[in-house]
Amino acid sequence: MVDGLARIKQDPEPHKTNKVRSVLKLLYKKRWAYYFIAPATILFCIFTVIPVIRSFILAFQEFRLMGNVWVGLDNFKYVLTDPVFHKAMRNTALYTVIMVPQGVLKALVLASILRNLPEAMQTFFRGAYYLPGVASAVVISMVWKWIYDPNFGLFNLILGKFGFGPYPWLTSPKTSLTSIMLMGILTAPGYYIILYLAAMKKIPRELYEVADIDGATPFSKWWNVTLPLLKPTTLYITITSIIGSFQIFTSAYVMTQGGPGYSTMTVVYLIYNTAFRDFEFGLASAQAIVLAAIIVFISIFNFRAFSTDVQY
Amino acid sequence: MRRACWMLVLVLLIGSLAVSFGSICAASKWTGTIQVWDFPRPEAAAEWELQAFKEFEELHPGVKIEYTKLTWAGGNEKLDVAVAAGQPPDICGSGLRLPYVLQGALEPIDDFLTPEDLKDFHEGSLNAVKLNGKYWGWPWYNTLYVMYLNADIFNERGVPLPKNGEWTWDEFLSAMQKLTFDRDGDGKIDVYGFGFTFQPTYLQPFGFIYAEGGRILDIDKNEFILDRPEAVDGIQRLYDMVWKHKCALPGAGGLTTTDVNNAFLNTRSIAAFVDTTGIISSFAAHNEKIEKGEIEGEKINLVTAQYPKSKSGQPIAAGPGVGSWAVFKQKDPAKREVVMELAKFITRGEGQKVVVPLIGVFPSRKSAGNVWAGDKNLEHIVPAVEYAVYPPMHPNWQKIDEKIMRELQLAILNEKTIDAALKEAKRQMERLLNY
Repeated sequence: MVDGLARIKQDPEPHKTNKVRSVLKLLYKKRWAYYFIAPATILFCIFTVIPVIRSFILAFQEFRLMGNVWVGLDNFKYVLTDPVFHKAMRNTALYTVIMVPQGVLKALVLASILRNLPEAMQTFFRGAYYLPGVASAVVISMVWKWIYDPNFGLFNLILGKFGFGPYPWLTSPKTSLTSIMLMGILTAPGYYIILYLAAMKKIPRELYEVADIDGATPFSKWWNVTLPLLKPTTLYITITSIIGSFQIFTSAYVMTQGGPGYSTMTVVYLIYNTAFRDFEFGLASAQAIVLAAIIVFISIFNFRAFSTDVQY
Repeated sequence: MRRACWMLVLVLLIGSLAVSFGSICAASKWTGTIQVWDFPRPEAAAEWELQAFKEFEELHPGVKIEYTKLTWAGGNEKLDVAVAAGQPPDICGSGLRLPYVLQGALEPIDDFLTPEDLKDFHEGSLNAVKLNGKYWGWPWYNTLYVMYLNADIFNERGVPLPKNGEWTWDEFLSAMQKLTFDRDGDGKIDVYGFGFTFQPTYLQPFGFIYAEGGRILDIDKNEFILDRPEAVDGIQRLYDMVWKHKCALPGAGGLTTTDVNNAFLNTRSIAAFVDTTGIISSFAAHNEKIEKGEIEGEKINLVTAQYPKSKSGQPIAAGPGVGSWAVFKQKDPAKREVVMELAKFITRGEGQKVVVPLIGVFPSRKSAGNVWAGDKNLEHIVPAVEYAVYPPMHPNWQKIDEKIMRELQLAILNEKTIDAALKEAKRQMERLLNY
């Protein structure tokens, strides 16, 4: 009894100790697995986790060459009251609202059309649609900048033949953001088409056969069978498109530098300017955190609204 | 005789004292290595620099110069990192950065500027390196904007070129109106008199705003003054050229400088525009390529002019900045003196006379004389150098510039009134002016 009491005194939380011991035992038992994931984890920590933590800390500081200064919530206060950030957020949101639905719809329609083509044709179109995705966004933006050029641009050249124009595609605040969106609209979403095609191939044929027996029309089959069963893929594509759209940068940087005025200023371009032109890394970190919070909020909303337990 | 002997002794004594004092002074001069960094210069100018360093070493036995050539691509970052790490060079060409001044990384040059120096430097050159009442770099050269005119279009329309590159605002406006025309008779304007744009870091149109005394900031009071009548008048002139007189390239506020350059050089759809003197060589190269048949097109018949003069007849000049040599903080006062001497040596008038034309710019010292005498494009620009206005020396200048330019873009595009644009610019300045 005395021994027992002494043991309790020595080890006030025996359950906790046992738990730690069992975790250590498990770690030892699976040590090879941890050895194998260690390089990737270390790299992930060095190049992702640490910079993210550092950026979070920076958001509460003012960056100075000779040492940072703590400023509390000042950076966030500035970001939330800055009209330029508001404008950039409005532009980015408008871009997302237009580009995401049309992108998802375009990928879905094109994949649905391709699916009914012979295999060789499918392969050809998959390659054709995917190929532009391999090219650098900078190169694509530069090509489009030339297409929109007020002096030698392809669009104004063609329209000029019919007596129209020249139009200030990128040089007027009224048309600049629309022109950037038009570039996205006229570009095929090759990656998403491939995702949809792969998802469509996974849908069991029996479901279509049953629909045939019921006398369903092709549109009815697409609407009632294909579309619902593509919901997980649509959710994935929607969320990744939203994230991508919120991070729009290259076209604004290469084609318009956010102008004229602030008409094509996007949040990520503003963050870039704040950080790498103005060297206000603290403010840029606060802007990035606000953007990340918005993306996380929208993603959670999407998951709640569209998540499904479709199994097939 | 006795008196003469005493006098001789006294003279010898004073003489020997002076000699020994001189040798003491000479001996106290610092010896060692000076780290010199500079950004790339045209080949001939870079050679001149190396020769100047060699001469300085010869004049200062025991002093060695270690030269590092930075790159335009990564030079700024290298310098930033070196300063942040407390390991900057001793002296750097184009190394004057406002954050360095504020962080105490640079030496003020005031104590080393003689009254002769102060008289010799152009006022604008000195002002461009002045912050908080002190000078932070040795001005080396002035970069100026000039107006480029396509003489062929002037001839085509029978418009006389400005005599000696000088004109009044009325003469300029009248010329630009006559140079705006429908060349192919389709009812649409093909050629506009003038082309300009408001783009961050490109201050070309500001010559019109400076004309009647308009300025962006009052640096001494740390105040935004672009909304004052004399500045608004200049902005209004530019706006009117687009919307009232319709003699400037449409969409001016939204164009890039590349668009304007293309309109002048390639599509020949403008007769005049403003850019730095540095691009004269690219026009010469364009003509040479056409002559050799390397590219197709027409040679450009180029003439340069000043901005239109002010109402009082004063020449107007504006520039993107002044090239200078900045001396970084020195612990050893003796070394500081030698490094300052080196900076002064590189930027001396005699040197500028040789090197400044090699860079294609204008001297910062009057003693360099008219380095462009006899040059058909730049000789008549020289008198304006004295009046040149440069971007204000403000630590947040880059941000101030960007905000102002974006607002002016909207004003010139008629998206906002000039008044509304300037009010918004002023509001945004509040945070930036307080540093």
